[in-house]
Amino acid sequence: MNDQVDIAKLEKSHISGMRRLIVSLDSPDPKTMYAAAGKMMAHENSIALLPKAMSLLDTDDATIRRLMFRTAAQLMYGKYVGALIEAFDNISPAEREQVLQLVEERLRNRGGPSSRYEQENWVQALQRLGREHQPTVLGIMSFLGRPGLKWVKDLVSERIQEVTPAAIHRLNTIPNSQRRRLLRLAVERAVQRNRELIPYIIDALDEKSLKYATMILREGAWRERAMVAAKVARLGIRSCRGIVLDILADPDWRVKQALLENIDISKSKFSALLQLLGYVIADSHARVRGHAERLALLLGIQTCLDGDLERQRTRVEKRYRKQLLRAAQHNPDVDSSWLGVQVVVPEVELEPEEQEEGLSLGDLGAGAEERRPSPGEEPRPESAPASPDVSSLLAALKRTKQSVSAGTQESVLKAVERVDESAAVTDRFIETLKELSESFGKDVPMESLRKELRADGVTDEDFERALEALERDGLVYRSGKDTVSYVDMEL
Amino acid sequence: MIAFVRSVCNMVERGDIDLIGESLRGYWVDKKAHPWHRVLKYLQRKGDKYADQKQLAEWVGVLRDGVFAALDALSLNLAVDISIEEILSTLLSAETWRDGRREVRNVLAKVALDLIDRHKLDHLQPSELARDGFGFLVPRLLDSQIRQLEKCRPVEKDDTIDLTALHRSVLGRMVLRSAEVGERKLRRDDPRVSELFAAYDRMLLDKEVEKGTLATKLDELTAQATLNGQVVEEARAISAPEPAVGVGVEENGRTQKPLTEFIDEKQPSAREKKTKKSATKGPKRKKKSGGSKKR
Repeated sequence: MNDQVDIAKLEKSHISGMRRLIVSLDSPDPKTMYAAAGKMMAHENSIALLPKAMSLLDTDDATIRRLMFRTAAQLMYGKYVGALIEAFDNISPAEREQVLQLVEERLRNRGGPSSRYEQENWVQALQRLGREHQPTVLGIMSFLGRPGLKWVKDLVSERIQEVTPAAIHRLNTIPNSQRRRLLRLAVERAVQRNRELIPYIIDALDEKSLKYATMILREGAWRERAMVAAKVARLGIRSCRGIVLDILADPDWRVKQALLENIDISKSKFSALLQLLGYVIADSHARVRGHAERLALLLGIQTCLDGDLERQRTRVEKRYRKQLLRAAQHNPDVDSSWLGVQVVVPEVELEPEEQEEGLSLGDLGAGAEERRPSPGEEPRPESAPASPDVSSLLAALKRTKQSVSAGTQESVLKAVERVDESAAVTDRFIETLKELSESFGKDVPMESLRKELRADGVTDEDFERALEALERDGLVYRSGKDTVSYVDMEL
Repeated sequence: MIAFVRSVCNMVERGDIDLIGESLRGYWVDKKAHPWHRVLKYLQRKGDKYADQKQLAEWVGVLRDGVFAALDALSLNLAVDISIEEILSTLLSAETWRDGRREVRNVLAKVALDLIDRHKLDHLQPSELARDGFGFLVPRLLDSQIRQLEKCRPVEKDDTIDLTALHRSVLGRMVLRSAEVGERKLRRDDPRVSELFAAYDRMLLDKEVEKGTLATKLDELTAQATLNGQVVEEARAISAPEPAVGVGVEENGRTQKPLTEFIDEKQPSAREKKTKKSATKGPKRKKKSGGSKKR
């Protein structure tokens, strides 16, 4: 009994198996041929099949050609890599992409070559491919060690104009430290030379690489800055330093709004958010303030990263009780029962029509004089937020409500007549817009608004200027091609 | 030891043939780190401890593939009947890696030539042989393919035409495919018969023409890897500087060279003018002076 392994026999059987496969691949019978070609695909480790596959890359049969490309893509090495890519002329671009994806999958599953020579050889072969394959090529490059990374780096730093958005997304497949370096380079180059990529790059950033976005904050337009702010907020705020402060220092209110709107509380630290609130709760812009108050309210019901809901509630309430009460009424979607307020809540419930009119305490605070100006009443609700007394707030609320119910019945023209002549053009603009909103609905046609104001002695020039100013302040917006709408805080 | 087998298999899997070459070269430096001489014996004795027959067969196959690939002879892997054991012993008994490689390649080429002469052409692809530096085999291979096709001209027997021979020949299978005939026999009154014969004649003609055109092209290939034992790299290393020297002189072939150099010696002024245009003076003069000293 001999328990040795007969190597020669094993080898022979292995080879004859491969030979059978190749002979049946040559068979004149198409069925045998296709079956053999399919089987070849399954032999992932047998580079013995490579020469045969390579010799059939230019065969007339399209199916065989495609299968051979795939077989070769799974097996190729060294000189065959360049040869395969040269033979790409034989297949359509869509098939090329599929072959490349197969190569990428192979490298992901089995690892890329680790010898320097081989890596350089791959890079050299792949860099000939066109821009349409860039994302996949970039994916492949990340398996090719240093030469591959160098190619990616050169691409980003020298030829950022050629980089496609999908390729930016693929930067994420590159290992950590290298990826961050590349992202920083990409940010830098994109700001200088290819602005279109900025949104995609922002999307690809993570907590650690986020700091590179400061460059966008410094040089980008407000839209780009707002995108950065939203990304920062979505990733959560751990400390109120660095890029967060940069965003808070931004001159455009929309950037700050993007930050406050998107904050993911469950990923943020409570202390950082509390500090952040301290900066924005008294912001000069009403909408930023509104969002800050909403955030304070949310802190009472959502747990932070290091969270303890009770502690959060007591601390927020201690510092921002007044703002919380205001926010509770603006944000009916947020559960505010934890505030334990008995006075405010029933008052609001008793007068539900108040909210239907689109009136709220926030609006009183923001720009009460722009709302219905009934000269007889002259409620000065701006003083209300200043006083901590809730009852005075409610008194103001009631007075305003009376004025509203008195004013609704009057016609548009009458209302315009009543407008104080000394009011600024912008004020008149808002007033007229609101009056017209009642008859037209939310979207007021620009032309009718212009007509009304012209009748009131406002020149077209002033009209345009007022519209622009109000738009900038976020009080009105162009809701359609020729329509204007008043920004409703309740939304 | 088993780790060594696994690492080699892994290299093949990742397409790191270059590393296998390095490891083979390493054998001459450190046999313990690269125990190529023991690997097969080890598998023979202890292999069944680590894997079943199927896995072992795959390992042996992968080892064979890897060694052939590292020798730039993958195109002959399936064609020749030499076992990996013989290949390795031939390779490793040589003085150096270069000698061993050259020896193995010579053996392989010899076996391949034998196959070609015996018309066993199933696993020989001309394009791949050329890629591996066996280009000098290609003309004979093509010739043999044609001879093979000529031999297996379908013959009529009774009422049927026997195609078995055609099925065995490389080009014959292509003929059959183009005529869309998959059977081993055809009835004489089959409509495809005339088509088949036409395809057969066309193929013969095509290949004869192709051979003629290829003969001119193959000059370079044969020059790069010759049968006199010169390795591809060596051949390249010698042939590469040559154009740099001989750019000015547009003679065809190496045999002419000494003659031109000889003439140049006599008329240095004419040579000088020519070379000034094409290349820098420095290296050329050195070369020339070296040549004259020898003489």
